[in-house]
Amino acid sequence: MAEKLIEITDLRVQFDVRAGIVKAVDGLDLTINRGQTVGVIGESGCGKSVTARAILQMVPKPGKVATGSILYHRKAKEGKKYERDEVLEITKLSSDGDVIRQIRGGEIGMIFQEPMSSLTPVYTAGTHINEALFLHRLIPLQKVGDQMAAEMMKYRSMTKEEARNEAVEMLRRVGIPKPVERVDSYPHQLSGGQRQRVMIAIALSCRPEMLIADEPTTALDVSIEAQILDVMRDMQKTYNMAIMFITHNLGVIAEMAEEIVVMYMGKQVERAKTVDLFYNPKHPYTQALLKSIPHVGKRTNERLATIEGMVPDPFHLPNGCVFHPRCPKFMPGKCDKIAPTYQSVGEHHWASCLLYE
Amino acid sequence: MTEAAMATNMKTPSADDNYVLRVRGLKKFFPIQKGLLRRTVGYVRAVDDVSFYVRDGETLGLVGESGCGKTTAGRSILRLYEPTAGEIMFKSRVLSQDGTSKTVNLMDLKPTEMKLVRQEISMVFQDPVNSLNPRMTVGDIVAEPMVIHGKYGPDSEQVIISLLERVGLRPDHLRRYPHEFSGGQRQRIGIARALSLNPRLVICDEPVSALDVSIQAQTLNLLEDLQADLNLAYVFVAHDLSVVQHISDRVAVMYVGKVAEMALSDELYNHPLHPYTEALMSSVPKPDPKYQSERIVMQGEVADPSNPPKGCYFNPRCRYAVDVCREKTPEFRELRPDHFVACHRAEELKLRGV
Ligand SMILES: Nc1ncnc2c1ncn2[C@@H]1O[C@H](COP(=O)(O)OP(=O)(O)OP(=O)(O)O)[C@@H](O)[C@H]1O
Ligand SMILES: Nc1ncnc2c1ncn2[C@@H]1O[C@H](COP(=O)(O)OP(=O)(O)OP(=O)(O)O)[C@@H](O)[C@H]1O
Ligand SMILES: [Mg+2]
Ligand SMILES: [Mg+2]
Repeated sequence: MAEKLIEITDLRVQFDVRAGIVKAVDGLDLTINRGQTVGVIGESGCGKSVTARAILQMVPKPGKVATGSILYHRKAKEGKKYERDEVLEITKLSSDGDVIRQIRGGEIGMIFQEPMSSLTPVYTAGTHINEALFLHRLIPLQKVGDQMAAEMMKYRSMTKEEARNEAVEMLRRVGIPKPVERVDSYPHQLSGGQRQRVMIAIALSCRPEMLIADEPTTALDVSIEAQILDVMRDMQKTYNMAIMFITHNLGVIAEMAEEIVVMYMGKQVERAKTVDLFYNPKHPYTQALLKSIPHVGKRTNERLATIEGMVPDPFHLPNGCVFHPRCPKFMPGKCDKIAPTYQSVGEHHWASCLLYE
Repeated sequence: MTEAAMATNMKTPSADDNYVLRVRGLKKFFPIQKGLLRRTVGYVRAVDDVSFYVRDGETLGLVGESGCGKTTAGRSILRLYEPTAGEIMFKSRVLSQDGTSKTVNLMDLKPTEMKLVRQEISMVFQDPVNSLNPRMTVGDIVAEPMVIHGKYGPDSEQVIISLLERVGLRPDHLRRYPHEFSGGQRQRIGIARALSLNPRLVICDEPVSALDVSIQAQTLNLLEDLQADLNLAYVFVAHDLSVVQHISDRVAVMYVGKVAEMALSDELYNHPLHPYTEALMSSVPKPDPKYQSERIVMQGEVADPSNPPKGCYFNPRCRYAVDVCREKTPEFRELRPDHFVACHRAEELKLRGV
């Protein structure tokens, strides 16, 4: 029986900016079960990272959760620092309270996009300096190994020595050369990809119930990428860890995810088992996405297929289906008038498109 | 550092004169300093004898392990890092009086000349966050190179708007600040900026890795259009090998500071001559959930660029390594026309492509 871990219902996150309100996430429903890997794909700016941050009650200012609920089914575990089973409503937790700070990193780990910025500590309002590490910013002038050990000890009952040893082992597993020496390096002495791997090692070594991986391997070459994906799958098996995997790389998602959610303009437009989504995509946006990727093997002089037009201005959203101005299957008089509902289009397969209504 | 370490190989590759950039024996070593007196105790050989060329109007893909020196090589070419050794020949138009090309060695240029050359060679930086000034609007960021080089005129605003549109951003984005954008949007701002001065060569350091596939497709098409329109050449650094193959005429594969192999794209992907290239090709994730990977798992650890192994740097991880590989550094040689490789056993090995 699938056991629910995170349950998001009708989530809306909005940014109140000078020009108006940006609806970054606009009515999202998403359930992630224990031990499951859910892939999230969708065009740049469609709200993937904002959703991830909302799960951790870390929406950057001036954004806020307008409506919706995010339930976290917490379960007591040995070696962890919390004792009873409970269901927490994350959106109701204080964003700098003790509970959410125990959850961040310890129970829900996150690997952030933009590893390269890890050397510039930019503390966004509402977050704490002592969460710098969790925010994917390695602290300058502090040895990598010490930072890793400190982070592990925050969430797990272990001694400093055990933590240091595990840090070395984790660095080895993510493919850092000479890990015994590297634990003593400072962040600026590592390349972009090496820093990214240190962050992955930290997130995994805290043994979270769920890992949110936002473009975790974009900065890595394919062989290291493959190795990291192996480590994630291993940890997933051993600790029954759930993974929310956000990426633009359809090759990686095909390999990692059991199920995929496709987002467009803050909404989910399709969800299906990975094989079904690749072989039988229903939503015209998903179909277009799958056509626009280059395939390795044969070089053609053909141009890549793109999706007509541009993502709409968030302040002047089109009527009806938000995808209709770009949709190759646009039905005049219908798609520009009626908003589609998200509904079942097959076994364990949902889409929001008027073609199926 | 010993004389031997400083000496570089100026012979290969032998490209005819039909290049816009030709790098030979490029080295960039970062000193490792220890103690209060900051005594130098060793060197990180980030770029360690790199040679390649880029022909006029073509795209050279640059791939390789994370940390193998791709960014350092790019920055050294622009002399944003002062190279330790090597020759960087570039066909410059701005430095010739009559509008034709003049071949110069960038290593010999004075700072004022180098500044002029930076109009012709621009760079899209890997890090879309740190390379954009958070206090400048998007419009100002894209305009900045024009301003620096005294090229900002009455039409410039229109040029900037059309550049933004070409990279898939809207004109009303002009007055917004970088933090208001998603990762992918920020990367496109960086691309618009790099193109603002009509460069001749653009070093693109992972320009599309943060983009979703449809914007990625748009951006790749855009780069190709601009190349056709303006006869641009690109050095294109990326980890996504299908993207690299799509955009590149030729591809160079780096391993620990050195170029292991360089060939025409199809040739490299289908008939690799270097075992590292073969391993890399076997790891490409395929956008097909039914695909069964036959990945070659490399043994051991990535070499440490401050203490590389003797012989071929790849030998400890190479499943074909023999004695000579552990003793002698392989020469980077042209085994077939336009196909260069640094492997002792390249002639005899039968390697698998993608
Ligand atoms: N601090 C902010 N101020 C205003 N708008 C913001 C802010 N942060 C995000 N947004 C907006 O919210 C929307 C969703 O952003 P988000 O970062 O979630 O996109 P994404 O799907 O992760 O994109 P990418 O794939 O490029 O990372 C975007 O339109 C973005 O412009
Ligand atoms: N300023 C520096 N001081 C010391 N070592 C450095 C410095 N910059 C880079 N290095 C080292 O030089 C090597 C090459 O780094 P570089 O950033 O060029 O790699 P890369 O190929 O671009 O990697 P990635 O794909 O991860 O971006 C790495 O081992 C790195 O640790
Ligand atoms: Mg994002
Ligand atoms: Mg780099």
